[in-house]
Amino acid sequence: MPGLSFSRVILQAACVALVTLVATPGHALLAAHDCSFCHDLHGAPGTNLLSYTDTEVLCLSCHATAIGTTEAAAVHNPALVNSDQPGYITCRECHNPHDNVVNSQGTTNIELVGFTFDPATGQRFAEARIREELVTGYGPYRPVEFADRTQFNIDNTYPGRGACQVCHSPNHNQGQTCTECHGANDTQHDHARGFLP
Amino acid sequence: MSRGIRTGCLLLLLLWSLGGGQAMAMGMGGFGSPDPTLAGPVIAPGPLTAPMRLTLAGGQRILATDYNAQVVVEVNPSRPDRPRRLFTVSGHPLGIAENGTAVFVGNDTTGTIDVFGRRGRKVASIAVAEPMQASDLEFDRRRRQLFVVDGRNPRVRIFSVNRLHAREIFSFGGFGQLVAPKGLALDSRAREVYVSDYGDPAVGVSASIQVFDFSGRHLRTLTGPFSRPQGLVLAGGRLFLADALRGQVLVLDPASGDLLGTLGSYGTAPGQLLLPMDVAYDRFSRRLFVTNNRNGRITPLTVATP
Repeated sequence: MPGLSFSRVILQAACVALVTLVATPGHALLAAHDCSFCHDLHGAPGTNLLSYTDTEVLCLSCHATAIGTTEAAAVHNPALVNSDQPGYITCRECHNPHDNVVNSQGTTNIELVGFTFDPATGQRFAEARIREELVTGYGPYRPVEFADRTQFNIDNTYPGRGACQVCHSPNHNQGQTCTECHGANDTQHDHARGFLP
Repeated sequence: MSRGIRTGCLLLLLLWSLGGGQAMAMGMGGFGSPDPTLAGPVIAPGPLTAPMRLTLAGGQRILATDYNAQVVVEVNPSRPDRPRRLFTVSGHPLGIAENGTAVFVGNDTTGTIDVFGRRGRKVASIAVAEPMQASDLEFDRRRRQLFVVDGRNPRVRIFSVNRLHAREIFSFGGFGQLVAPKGLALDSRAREVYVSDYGDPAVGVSASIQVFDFSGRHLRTLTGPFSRPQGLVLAGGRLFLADALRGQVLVLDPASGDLLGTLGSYGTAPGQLLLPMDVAYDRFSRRLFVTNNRNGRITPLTVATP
């Protein structure tokens, strides 16, 4: 079995130093997402030293449904629009790949839901947010609360802040959990179907 | 200031507050578009939803699994753009192999290997003590044995096949030798098994190809310029490997792992690959066929001198 390479050690050290120097505690790196899995110090073709230009492919190269790695996921594209159009919800639009961040209620989100920095626009926030995105266009960044999986609910316990409610109206089937219908008819977890019914 | 100018200024102020101005003032994005330079390529999916593994079957045809559509499709090598649905699978299909009598399909949902007859009717199911993730299968016709990469456990399992019946005769690998195995290729003559392994960078284990003999003895580790090694095939003394992240098929020396060349390129245009998952070599047409997962197609690539 190959061990740690010199370049990996350097990259790891650089990341740790960077995080220590500039990041808030919420930006600590998730252990399962080793730096070198996504970033290259040398010859990185993408921005932010990403080892690939397309973050969706970067995520799906491990998390695509067919691959069999943990946390199988499919893109959320309920309106079946093209990948360059609003309404095509790709990974980075809901998730922060580095770590879970604190939400507006002071608890910490799970499943890497919500981000405090959007590389697409360069905006930063104090707490976890997701940008409202519909087929008609991009809306504002809204606080998102997903400290446990019940927060898929649409019973207005978390008015406007639930993971689905950032974009979807809570006035539909109130008291239900979105994932009871959207993806639950499968033995896999809901994200593997892109949360489609 | 006239009423018209005042109204115009108010209107401009309103538009500014709805747009980027509000974003700057309140730290919230307006209805602007994200930076297009950060967007990936535009995907125009082909006829398949998520093609995974493929195998060359008798009668000059290719069989492929479509994970999301839960079907096995048949592809004519001369018309790879027109796959034909062959049969459905009760669950998500992964690896696929064929032995002239039956089609073996790994079922990710049930943790078994389903056996289908020629007409696509399920005739048997192969199970072991724990649920498997039969990520890739290959049939050794000389020995009538089915080799299976079990990604869940993680090991290589070998089944003896007699007509439609199969029993596990032995397995090897496990933690310490394999971490996250994905694909499998056999060199039946040299009695070698090549297993692609994602590794686990969180614990400092890089992606690799592990080579074993048929008795399960570890022979060598191949590392190279690959990061997400998926399906692989041996042809003409070379090892062809689909790298899911690079969007290319890498041509490797099977002894050393040295990179001899690459085939295909990353992208969504015809002939380009986005998340390639598996390769099969058709010696009649001298082409490699690749499951082009995110593009939803089976893509042929011409090989110069395999």
